[in-house]
Amino acid sequence: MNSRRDDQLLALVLLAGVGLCTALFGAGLLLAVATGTAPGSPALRVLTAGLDVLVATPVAGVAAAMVRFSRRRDVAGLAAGLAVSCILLLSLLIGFR
Amino acid sequence: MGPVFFLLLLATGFGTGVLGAMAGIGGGVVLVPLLHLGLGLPVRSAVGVSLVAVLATSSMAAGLYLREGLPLVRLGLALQSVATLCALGASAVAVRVPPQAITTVLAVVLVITAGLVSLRLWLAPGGSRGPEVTARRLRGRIMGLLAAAVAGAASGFLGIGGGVVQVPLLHLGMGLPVRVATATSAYMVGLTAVASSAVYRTHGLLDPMLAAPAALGVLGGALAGARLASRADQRLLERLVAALLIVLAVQLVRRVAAAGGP
Repeated sequence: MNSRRDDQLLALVLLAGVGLCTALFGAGLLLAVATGTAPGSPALRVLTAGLDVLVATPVAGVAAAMVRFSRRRDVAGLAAGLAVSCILLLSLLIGFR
Repeated sequence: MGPVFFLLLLATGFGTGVLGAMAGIGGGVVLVPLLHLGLGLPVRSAVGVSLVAVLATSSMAAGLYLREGLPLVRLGLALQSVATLCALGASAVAVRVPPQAITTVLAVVLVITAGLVSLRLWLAPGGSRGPEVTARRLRGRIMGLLAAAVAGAASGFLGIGGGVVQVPLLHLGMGLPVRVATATSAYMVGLTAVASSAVYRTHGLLDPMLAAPAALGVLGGALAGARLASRADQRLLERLVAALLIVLAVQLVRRVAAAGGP
């Protein structure tokens, strides 16, 4: 896989994540207007799902970049990606407790 | 929270997105004070909302830049560990200090941003050196790490992307061409916001009901602003944005003074 195709794959991951999040946010807001925003309501669950997708999007981007580095046997790039992934996963584990 | 408030959040986000895209400053630096001063959100909630908007716009921008092959992903990830750690540290501090401290720092950052926007130092000639060559130099590496640290701290403490500081440092310090520096910064800013938002979420400061309309507005506004940018008088726009930032800074200082100081 060449560099251009790698970039396109990474772009697809990021744009698909933003697209899905936008759809969930839009649906959640419509539900909120229609059914209210009480705790545990469908609207809140859909909006939270959108937020989860949005947070996961850059992380998925790092994973895609790491696949690219491993294919090229780019040890330094892989190490940088791994370091960032570890820090992000740690922060997410704290945040999603 | 009714439909009217949703619409206000959407409109505020949209206006911020248009302005940010047209002036090239991102959105958070305007969104946080507008949400706090205009819509009355507590400053830390405004920071949480802004982080979600920053996540959305930076992911979209990075995706679009990647289609053109612009961001230096490897360099971005190499610097990102520092940015993420600084973001975690700064957000951990931000959720503990008095809100007035955040407001005061935000006012200072708004003034600095106004200066950067009006001077446009990073657009000066001299960015034509090859990025890979300069990036290996020690000074370039230090400037890159400094850019990452500043952006991380700005993200964690104030909920802004930090691109307005990061881009000139990557451009002037590492010799990256402006568009490559902007694209690499956009890629990094999203990752930094992930770490910051996790801390705000832990402390219940990230409300999806507030964040979703603002983020949708900013995304729509950024797309509209990018289309309008080529038709606008850039110099006039930058001066207007700089003036707006100064006005917001003054209002924030007055709010802090009214609350009894930082």
